[in-house]
Amino acid sequence: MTLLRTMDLTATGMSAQRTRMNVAAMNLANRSTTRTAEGGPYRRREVVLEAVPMEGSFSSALSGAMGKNDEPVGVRVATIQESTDDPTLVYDPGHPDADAAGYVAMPKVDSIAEMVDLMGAARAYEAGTSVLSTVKSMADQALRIGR
Amino acid sequence: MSIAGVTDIRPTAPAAGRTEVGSSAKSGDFAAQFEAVLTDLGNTAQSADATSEGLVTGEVDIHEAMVAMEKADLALRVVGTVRTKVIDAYQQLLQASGG
Amino acid sequence: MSDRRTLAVDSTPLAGLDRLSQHLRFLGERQGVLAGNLANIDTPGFRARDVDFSERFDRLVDGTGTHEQMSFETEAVTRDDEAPDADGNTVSLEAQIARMDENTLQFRSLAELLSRRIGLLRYAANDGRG
Repeated sequence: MTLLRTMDLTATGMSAQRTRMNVAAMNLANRSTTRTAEGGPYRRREVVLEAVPMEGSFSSALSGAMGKNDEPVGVRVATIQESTDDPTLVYDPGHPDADAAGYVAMPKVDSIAEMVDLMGAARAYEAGTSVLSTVKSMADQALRIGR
Repeated sequence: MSIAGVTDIRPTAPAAGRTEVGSSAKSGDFAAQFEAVLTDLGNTAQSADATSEGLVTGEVDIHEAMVAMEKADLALRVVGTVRTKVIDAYQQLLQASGG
Repeated sequence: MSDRRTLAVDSTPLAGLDRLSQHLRFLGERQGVLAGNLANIDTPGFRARDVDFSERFDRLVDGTGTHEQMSFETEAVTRDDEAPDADGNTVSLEAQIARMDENTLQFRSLAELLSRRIGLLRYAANDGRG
């Protein structure tokens, strides 16, 4: 895999992490949403990632060492899943969406967990920028060969 | 990790500073040596072209392309230098024989 | 899985450059593998990988004389940074960054060395003139 392709690969990781950040932010924003268009409280979203081979990365140096399944792999968002967990029932008879018994169905969003995911994604995203700069420094050095 | 470190580098070819070329021919047979150099030159030039194309398609990386081009450049310089020396030697011969 | 390739080095003075070029190619490829690990730091079930490289220099004597040969072997391995987490992922950010920084340094040092060697050869090819 060439240095250029490695940069593309790194970008796939950064995109995936941005999606994770966006989804965590959306979950947090909707942690108290009791009414949705589909009816019922907001259902937490979760990002499912999967590794994908980079196209055109059948590099000759490693094509022997690594079988087709062992090529350097990038990542993509396979799907953004809606949680099928039951909502949390909270006793709040004054709430406009309380049921006859005074319970409100609240989204099952754990703020702390979402913050942890958000920070983890931000960190991984930053790591991506540092990877890009190491690859660029290698490319710069290579361009100076013989000069 | 068993990656050979930079300290492992051993000279595997005649060191710089010697202009010995084309050792596949017997030393002392100048014409054959020169021919070997020309073949080399052709090969390195072809290689440089191939790797330049490879750079565009993404099969070849920057460092390989740079090395291929430098090799072609070096081969060309050697040929140029040898040519100059041959001409100088010939001219000296002419002068020596009363030209 | 491993891959071995050989390179005859008794053919030209430029062959030493081929050897360094092969090594650089490997380091560039390895950077790709490590970048792939980092891209998959949150992929469930993903196990960290690496590639190892070894060189061997052989001097063979046969009927036609003495031949020198370099051979290069690369081997793809699974190399976990840590025990699998709740999702089965074994990549550690810090460990990968450390590996990549080391790899980058090796690459740059080798590229610099290659440059200097070319400079010397150029000097020799010009017969000491520039």
